[in-house]
Amino acid sequence: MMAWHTEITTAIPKRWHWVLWLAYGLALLALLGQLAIYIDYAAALLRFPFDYDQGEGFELYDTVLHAQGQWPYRDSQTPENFFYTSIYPPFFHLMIVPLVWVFGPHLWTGRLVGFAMSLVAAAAVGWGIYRATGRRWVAVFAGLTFIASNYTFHIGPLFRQHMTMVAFEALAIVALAQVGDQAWTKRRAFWLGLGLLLIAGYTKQLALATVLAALTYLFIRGPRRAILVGLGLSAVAGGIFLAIDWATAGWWYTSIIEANINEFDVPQMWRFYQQWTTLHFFVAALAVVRLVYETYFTRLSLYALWFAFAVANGALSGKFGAGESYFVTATAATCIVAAIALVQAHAWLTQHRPRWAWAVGLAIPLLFLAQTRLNLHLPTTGPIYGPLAQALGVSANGPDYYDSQGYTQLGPHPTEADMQAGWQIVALACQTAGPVFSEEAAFMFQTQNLAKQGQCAEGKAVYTNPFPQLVMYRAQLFDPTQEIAMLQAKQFGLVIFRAQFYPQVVLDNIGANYQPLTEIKMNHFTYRLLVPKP
Amino acid sequence: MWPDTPLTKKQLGWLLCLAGVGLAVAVLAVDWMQAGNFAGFGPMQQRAIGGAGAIVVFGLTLVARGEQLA
Repeated sequence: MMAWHTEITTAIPKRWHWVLWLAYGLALLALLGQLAIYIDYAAALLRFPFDYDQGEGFELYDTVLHAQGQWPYRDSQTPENFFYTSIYPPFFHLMIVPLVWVFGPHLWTGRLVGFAMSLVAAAAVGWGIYRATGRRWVAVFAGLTFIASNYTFHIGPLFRQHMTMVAFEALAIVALAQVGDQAWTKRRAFWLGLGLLLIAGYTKQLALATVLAALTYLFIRGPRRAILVGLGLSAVAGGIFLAIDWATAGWWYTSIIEANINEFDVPQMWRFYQQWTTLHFFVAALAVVRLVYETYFTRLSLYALWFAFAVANGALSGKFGAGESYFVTATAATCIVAAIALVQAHAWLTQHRPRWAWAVGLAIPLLFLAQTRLNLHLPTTGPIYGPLAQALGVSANGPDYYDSQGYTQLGPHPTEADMQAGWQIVALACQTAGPVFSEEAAFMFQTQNLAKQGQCAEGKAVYTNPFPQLVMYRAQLFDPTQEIAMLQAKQFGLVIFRAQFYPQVVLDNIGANYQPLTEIKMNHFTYRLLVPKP
Repeated sequence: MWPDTPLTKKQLGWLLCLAGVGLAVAVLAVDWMQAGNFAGFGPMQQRAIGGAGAIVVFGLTLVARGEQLA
């Protein structure tokens, strides 16, 4: 393993060392700058007590149900279950249960875990590179490049399970990459990797691609053993699956599997591929070159296979309701493979073409600098961000926010006005007699928190989970009859809409029986509040 | 006992060819079962057959790499 300074200056004439130090310094400054912006964004979200991304409040509700010893996978067609079911596996929520037990139902609990797991994922990326190459600088750069990615930035500090899945995937792959060809079962890393794969799968279903990548790698290295491993892993995962399905009278399978089979939009898929490739061009190009090289000229590594499977899995971004998060795993894999490609190229040139080694040596930091520029995102106002944005030559393409991706819903900091708007909605919910039909759950949790302090007449229960309801209705898995009966009887004292992700028949019945009360703008979305018609 | 040695690129290539052919057969079989008889290729079937063909071609390029370990 090289010392930090030797890594940079090896095989470089002494008179050019200052150029390299300058390039490495600039790259590190840029990456640490994006890290600081990310931490600031996460802190802003931790302070914001309402849904920032639609669905966060329902993930909190899943956690609350687990904390109460209940499964969130249920018949969502009945008022007894508050027309609610969850379509996500439980591990992420179970991780947050202790925080909810201690601190109560607050969005910051899951956001803190999501943010922490994004750092874990970055650390796993860096550790994997360091173990594979012995190079510290490149490992640090690649880990920070993962953090600097627009997609990591947007979703890392949300109360959503995707980033936690990516962290477990990265840890699993890095663990299994240490195993080698022989004596798998005698290696702790092997069992750790398998365990992490299982956890990743029970964090979010998309981890199946990483599981398949790992099994494919093991099959290439030892087909008979890999088949046994695959059968064993399937038996354990399947056993857990069947146990939960039995415990939930079949609603686990309906919610986790059937409800996630949605309409597919091929142009949407290609748009996401194009966007991801554009934003991650330099590292993606390097990773592709390395994949081709390993495929035809040397042994396929687990990292390269993971990269291939993860990028292929991005095709699922064409599903209704899918988004950029479907490429975060691919970003992690890309950072690892690209870094390994750079180090291997540098090592080869140092040995065989030492006159050109300096070029790759200089290209390493410049490439990470260029990649960071492709991913640039930052607020554009304030005493620090304002001058910084000006110095970088960028202006807002969103609310007081620049993102190289273009306009994004996620990324701008919630403002004091957004906070006040949220409390205004909560106040209206508190004043309502009877249950509230809300498209976001965090408002209801705040009424519960205020009720405990005597500042709200009664805490409101969480009713409905709109997106699952919509996709299940389209798949003929959800019968809205009882929900509509309550709406027609005007049993809900208040309806809170944001994107109106409900079955059309539900929206029509709300329109027939409820009338507008007011509109409140929060996070640049217009929330429409309705009350029963006289 | 069947030795559990790593695959060569040639073996991996043949496996991929087999997978590609299997995918094409599965697409045809599903289309035949659904329609009662072969009813022509829609866009999804064309994409699937095209994908299967690409997998076979990719497999053949690996077969050409011979006994090098995959």
